[in-house]
Amino acid sequence: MKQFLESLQAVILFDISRAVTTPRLLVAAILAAVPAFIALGVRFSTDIPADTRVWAALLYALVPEAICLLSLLLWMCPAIQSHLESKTWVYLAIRPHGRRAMLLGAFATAVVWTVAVGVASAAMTILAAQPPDAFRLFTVICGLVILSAVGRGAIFALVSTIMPRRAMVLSVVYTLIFEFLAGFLPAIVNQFTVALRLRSLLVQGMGWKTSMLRELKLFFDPEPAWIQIGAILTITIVSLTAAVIVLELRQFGTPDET
Amino acid sequence: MQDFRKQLKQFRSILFLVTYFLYRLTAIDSFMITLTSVTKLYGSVIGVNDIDVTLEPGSYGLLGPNGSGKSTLLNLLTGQLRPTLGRVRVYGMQPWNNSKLLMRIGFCPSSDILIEGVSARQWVRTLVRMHGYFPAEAHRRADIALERVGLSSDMDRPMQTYSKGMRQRAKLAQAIAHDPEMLVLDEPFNGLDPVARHDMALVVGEWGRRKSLLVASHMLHELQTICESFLLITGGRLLAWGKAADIEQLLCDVPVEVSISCNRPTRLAELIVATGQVHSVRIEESTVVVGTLYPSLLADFMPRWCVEESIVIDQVRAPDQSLEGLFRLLVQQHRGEKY
Repeated sequence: MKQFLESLQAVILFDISRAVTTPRLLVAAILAAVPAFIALGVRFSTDIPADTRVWAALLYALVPEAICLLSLLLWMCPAIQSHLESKTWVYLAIRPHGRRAMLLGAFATAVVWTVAVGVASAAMTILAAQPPDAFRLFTVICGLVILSAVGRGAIFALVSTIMPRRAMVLSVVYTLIFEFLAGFLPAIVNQFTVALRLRSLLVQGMGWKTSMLRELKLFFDPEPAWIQIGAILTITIVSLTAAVIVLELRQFGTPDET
Repeated sequence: MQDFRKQLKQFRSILFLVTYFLYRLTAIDSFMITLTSVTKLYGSVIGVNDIDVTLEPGSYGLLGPNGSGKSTLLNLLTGQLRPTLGRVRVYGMQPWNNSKLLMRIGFCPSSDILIEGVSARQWVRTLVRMHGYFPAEAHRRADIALERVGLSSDMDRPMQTYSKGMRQRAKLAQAIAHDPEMLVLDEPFNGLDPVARHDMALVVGEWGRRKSLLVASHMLHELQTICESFLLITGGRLLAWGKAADIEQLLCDVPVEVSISCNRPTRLAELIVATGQVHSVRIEESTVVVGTLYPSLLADFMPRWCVEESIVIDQVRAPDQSLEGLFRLLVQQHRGEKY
């Protein structure tokens, strides 16, 4: 266990140190700033009333959904893909617990990176929008950012492990079909999406449950917050376990196989 | 009294069982590598084919042309691949996903390292830490390994700025930094210039004198100075293995090919066949290629033939008495070709 934790820590530190480059920081800064610019535009060019609900909906759509998804797609998929597809994989795989340390290390790094970008983005957007009840909105959005990064990061890790060559494309397809389409279907299928859980947590976190329109309740799960969080954690654990199993069972020869 | 005898009998049985298991345990562990009917298939393509070999600790050169199954064999030994058939044991353990075994092996794959923005020091430290060492110890080991391969002065530079030779040395450093019992190197001399090859050979040779070594290469001369034993592989099959002396003995038992370029190749071929000391004769334009166990006999006859038959010999070429000739002949034997 100690060996595995050392391995994991080493991979995380290595991946983070590789991430701190000017181009990557620039991309992260642009990603984080985009919602703030949109919020500024909305604030000064439209006559939206200073209502917490409007800003909460906008912030939710921009940060835990758009920015987190983009950040994960730009980070998680290429990280796993580059390890598996390029020639660095074998150097990690020949270490004790190297395979799972590589996967979980890449996952942890992607989550840390995405959460950092998401929280910075939420802070900038709230500063730009100046909504009422700003602190509450900020804490709720930060919580959703963390859960979004963890849940979706695990799903993308699984997708990338199963199909490393098409990781990015498949992750986008998964997001469009399951998170954005199936997530809004008032059926059993949406119970398995992270999107439904995040929306439900937003509603509960902002205290809108009782005052919500009846029709809109189709798109939210009325169960308590701990069930929503538990569902996301379950999706995370199942996805990561499946990804580790796939990785441990798959044979990856060296690229120059002879 | 009877009880005592019964107890004594039981004690002897237990002692026998314990001794037997200890014997089996030490017997297995005394072998570095045991391959039992190992076959690896990639779909319908054969990677390695029915390999049976047992190797004790030592330095071994795995020789074979490109695509002969060297890398597949190394990947099987380092637990990156599972055999389709047969059994692989390294230090008595199966290598697939075996963390305990990976602590005892250092592997340097043939693939290049293409990680941008990372220095050799940072990279080797990370890989050593993955063996469970605390940061301080991992840093110490990484620095020692980089110094041993001669990269101390450049270890903080990003690896994308390295020459091919420096990258090969960085690869070697990551393989030896955790001080494994067995070092497995896949084509460590690939792409190196002569000076870099020499330097690499020194480092690897020094390792081979202290610990176990398995080096795969398709260049025989690279391994001759480093390894004391050789395994010859082609088409996924192990053709021969043994110490250099064993291989030389094999060399005595296989015919060598001598090529003689002259003005009357047909007549020369007739004369050579008439000696009755040749395995094969063929004519390639103006060259007669003779397969014989006694090449020196040709030297005895040729001066007389030159005088009596007016044969003008332009060139006589014989393979050097090295493993190169043996390897070529074994491959020919394996393919069922005449020699």
